[in-house]
Amino acid sequence: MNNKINLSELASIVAKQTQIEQSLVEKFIETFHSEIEISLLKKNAIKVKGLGIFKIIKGGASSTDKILYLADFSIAKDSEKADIPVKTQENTLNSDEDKKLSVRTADEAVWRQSTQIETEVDPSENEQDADSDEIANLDGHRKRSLKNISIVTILVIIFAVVFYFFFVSGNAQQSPPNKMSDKALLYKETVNNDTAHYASVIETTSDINILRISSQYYGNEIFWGYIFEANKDVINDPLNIKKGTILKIPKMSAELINDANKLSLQKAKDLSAKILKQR
Amino acid sequence: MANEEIVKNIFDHLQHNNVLLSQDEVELLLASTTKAINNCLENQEEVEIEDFGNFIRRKTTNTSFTNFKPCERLLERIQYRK
Repeated sequence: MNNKINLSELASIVAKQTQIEQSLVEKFIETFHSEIEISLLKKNAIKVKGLGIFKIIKGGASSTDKILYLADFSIAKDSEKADIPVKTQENTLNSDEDKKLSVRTADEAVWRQSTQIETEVDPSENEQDADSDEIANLDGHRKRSLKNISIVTILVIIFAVVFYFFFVSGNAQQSPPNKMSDKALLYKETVNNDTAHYASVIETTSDINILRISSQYYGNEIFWGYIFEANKDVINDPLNIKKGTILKIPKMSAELINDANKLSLQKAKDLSAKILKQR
Repeated sequence: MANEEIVKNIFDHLQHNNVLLSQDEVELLLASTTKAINNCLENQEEVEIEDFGNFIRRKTTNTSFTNFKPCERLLERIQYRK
């Protein structure tokens, strides 16, 4: 960077080109930039043909807002093709009429050039326009990205909820019934005064099948005959023992209730057959 | 905002402050000013607009990039505009 051009110097250059008093040009330049500022504050963006686009980019919660500037190169390129016919010190006109005519001529030339810029198709200008469009759609892209992230988050949450209900809750429902809870539903244990002979004394809390009690205490329903023999004074129907019946569960040796032992099974079957024959 | 609207706003503002420029002159000044800024930038000069910001053009072998650095006051005004 060689040097800085300040407002006065810029005004001096413009004043020479336009033959307008420098103080007026300075006021114009100040007002021009003030106008850009006002438009930025009001509309968040402003496009000045020949200068560029100014746009406020929101910085979000953690950072500050910034001004994005995209230069318009069209005037610079166009100036290579034809210079603006502005007045110089050498060709200054004296009469007011001539001055006015000259200003109008320069003015028309400038706007003719602007028109040419709009109509000429230059690939590099198209590239510039594409960049402008991209900047103009920046907010749209941000919103779309945010929307996509939100959708993905919602889908993940839905998937997690569905997973929880189908697998976690489902498994809980499908888990085998607790023997203790089953037991609590069907009977309850009461005071056992003869622990030498009985493993337990129970009171049925609902109508119950003796096979089930056998299965519960001896591991196999085939040994039901031992329970029946110990309680035959209170059992009328082994398949339907009434609610509130007190049953004694006799203590059995492990060999007698070993369902892997054929002899034990045969003995239990014989006992069952005998009971049924008696009835 | 089209330049016609900018011209009208500047013209109204100048009239309000008793700066006697016609609308045609404002149009001419706008075109000349933007061109002068571009010419300065093209000559590798930094354009400093007091109380607004600086325009700087950086050139490499293949590309040219113009940067605008707003002044502190303008940045603060943007932060507290709501």
